[in-house]
Amino acid sequence: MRSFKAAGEGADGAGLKPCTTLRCTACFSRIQPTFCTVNSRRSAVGSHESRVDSRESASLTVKAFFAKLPNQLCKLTVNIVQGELAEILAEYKGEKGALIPILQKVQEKFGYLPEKAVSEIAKFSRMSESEIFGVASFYAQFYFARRGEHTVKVCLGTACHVRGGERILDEVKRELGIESGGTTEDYKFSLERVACFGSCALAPVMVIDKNVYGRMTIAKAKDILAEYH
Amino acid sequence: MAFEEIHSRAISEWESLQSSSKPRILVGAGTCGRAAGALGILEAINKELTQRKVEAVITQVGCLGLCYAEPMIGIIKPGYPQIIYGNLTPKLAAQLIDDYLVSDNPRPDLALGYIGDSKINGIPNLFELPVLKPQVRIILRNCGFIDPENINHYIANEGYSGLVKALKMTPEAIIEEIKKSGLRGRGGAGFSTGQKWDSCRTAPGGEKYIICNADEGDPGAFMNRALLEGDPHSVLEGIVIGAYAIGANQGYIYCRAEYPLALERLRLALHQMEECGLIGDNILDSGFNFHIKIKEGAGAFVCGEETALMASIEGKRGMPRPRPPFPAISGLWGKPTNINNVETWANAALILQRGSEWYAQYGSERSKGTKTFALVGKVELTGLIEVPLGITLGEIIYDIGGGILKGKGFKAVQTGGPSGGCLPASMLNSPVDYESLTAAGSIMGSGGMIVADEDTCMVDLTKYFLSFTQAESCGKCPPCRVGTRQMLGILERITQGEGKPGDIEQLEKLANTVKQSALCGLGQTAPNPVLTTIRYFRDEYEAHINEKRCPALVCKDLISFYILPDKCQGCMICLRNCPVEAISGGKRLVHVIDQDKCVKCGTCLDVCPPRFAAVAKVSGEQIEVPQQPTPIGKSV
Repeated sequence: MRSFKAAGEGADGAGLKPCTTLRCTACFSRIQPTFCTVNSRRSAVGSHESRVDSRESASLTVKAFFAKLPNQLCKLTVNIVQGELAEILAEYKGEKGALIPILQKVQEKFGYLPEKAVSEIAKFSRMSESEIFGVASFYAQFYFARRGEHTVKVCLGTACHVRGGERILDEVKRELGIESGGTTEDYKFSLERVACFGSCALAPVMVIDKNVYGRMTIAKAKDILAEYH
Repeated sequence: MAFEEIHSRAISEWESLQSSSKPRILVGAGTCGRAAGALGILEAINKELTQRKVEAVITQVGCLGLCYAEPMIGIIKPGYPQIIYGNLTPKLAAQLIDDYLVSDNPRPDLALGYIGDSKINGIPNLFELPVLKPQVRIILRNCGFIDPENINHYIANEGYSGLVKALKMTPEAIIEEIKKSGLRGRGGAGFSTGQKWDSCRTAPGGEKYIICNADEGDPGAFMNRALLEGDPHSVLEGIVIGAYAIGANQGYIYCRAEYPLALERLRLALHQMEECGLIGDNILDSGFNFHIKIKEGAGAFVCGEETALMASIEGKRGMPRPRPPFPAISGLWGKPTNINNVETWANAALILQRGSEWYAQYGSERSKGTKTFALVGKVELTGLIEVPLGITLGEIIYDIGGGILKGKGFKAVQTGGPSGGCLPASMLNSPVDYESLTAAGSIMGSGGMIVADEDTCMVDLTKYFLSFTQAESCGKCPPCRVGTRQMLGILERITQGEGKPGDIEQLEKLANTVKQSALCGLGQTAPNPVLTTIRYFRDEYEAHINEKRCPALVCKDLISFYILPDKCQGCMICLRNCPVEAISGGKRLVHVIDQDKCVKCGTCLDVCPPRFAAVAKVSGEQIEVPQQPTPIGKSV
């Protein structure tokens, strides 16, 4: 695989540092988030909304799909992405069926799957970009656009549903001013509704990052969100 | 190292812990315990112990299953039985350390019960409590008692004795033993485990695979999570036994990424097994090699279906394929593969440890053994339970679950997740086993049991399940892809008050078509909620369609909120809390809700002081209220 030598400050790859010349999505962006096609076409129901509508994905080429996303990476970041990727990919050399773990690792690193990363993974695994995209878009876990710093997940599993999870979600939506699947303008919060966390006995449940909050009420939701502001 | 040596080392560690001169504190720190604040409790206890200069052994254990009382701790003072305390706060926990460990007051007011032989005044025996008495905890026997991160605790409690026994038997004899036990798949379908193993063993081909399905996707179910968090080795032992019986050298555990703690404990457990020579090459000098890889799910419900799960392990889109060929003949990478649920594996280990005859004493004629259920929803005592098969639904809900929350009326119990059905009060006496539940139109499923009370709208609940299965449908086969969408559309119309005569018949027709023609289990069972609710709660559908009324006052488009002028005291609490500022009024003025602005969130009803009870929720009727705020006491 090609390896790029990073130039300029922050080239040590120790983390994504703000880029001075170009403003990019991964380091710092002033671009107002015009929500991507995936987000804006979310259906009103269902938990795995980040999955792209199958008809839509069929009519879009991978390039066109990414072009619609608010991703603009500066060269520096691209180089860092490639450097970090090489490390991740090296771990999986020669392993059968490693695509999903690779995607998980990459997302863990960058918070989403940058376009550049997808094309590198495609080269590595000798698959086409559209195949990689096909797999990634099937699973609810993967994102193609930058996410907020904190991910708020409101559980709407059966137990949470009968105990009023929908009302908690409504409250969080109002509080953050975004729909489920969306990200706030300041990239502070992303909101998701999920199907079940397995903490049903404490329903309704809300999860922020890795902290699980049980026995939620509308008032409690407000207070907890305030802690993260 | 020989197993005898490992075993005696484990026993001595366990015994020295039991006879320790220091008090022991067990903190229930599974995911649900943590969500309830167990880690805060742990911190408070540690702080208090240091301050008081008391030495104690603290162990983080799995879930005891009494989730309603989380966070919980157990305290064992040398010479006394273990006492379990529940509903603690950090402050109470610190106080408890002070009272019991320092001043010798066991605080019966905070205790749930004791475990052991000798009695403690004022505290009941935990296992004699109504919530635990009907339960038979053999799969969950270690959960809440052993340290799940210490393999020695498991080994000291009969752990891996089943594997040792199995390695001395022929594979055929092991499968015979499993067949004799009557064990059936705990993932929900209930296929005979012994037969499944047998067909994979006899399938042609040298390379075979074993998979443990821990992709517990049913909303409302967490049995597998609790078991993996509380006693991971019991599952792993079963997997190794199965691999030996079938002749597989590679295994996979497919666990959903939403269970980080379970994944962490599995990884640790595998590492410990390796150190003890219980996994890897030449396991316990038997010449048998077996390796396990953990695969994290990526958030797709359909991956709980076996063929979709295997596609996902192969790194593809998790879409099912038609069967036959069954995985036992052609599974992962086209090789014979045996896939079982977490609980099935744990059962298999137990059967080898204690024998099939012992195991078969539990359960009913055709459904042997016990089953774990996640009893949740509108019951008083939510939790993780384990009961012998054949127990009735009523016993589970009323004896173990303590009845319906806040003394309300029972409406339905939902078993089997989105693939199961909703059973009404008339089925409360029917036994919980594979055949009876199927006959009632539901399924056993993996063990979610969600109780709905009179405030649950069955049409809305069905819509909820359909919206779930519709979103999770992988899109491969049209019956499921199109059928679930169409059924959901009709249900949405009905709950919005736009139902038409003939909708029910149309739903039934669609449901039966999807059931018969869908490719995989997800599609074939997705119509079950529709069919069972129409069968048992047809009147609710009719009320929505014909009278545009939601009897349970749930469907937002069919309900409205009013402030009753004769009860409102003009306190302004609801006015201030309304998120959309739909309430007008003022001090000592009767408040009025602007029906056009109201989003029907119900906040006003929640915050109105019970002594006033001035907010009314109605459906299908209008209450005459003033249009403008008027002074209190004036007649309308």
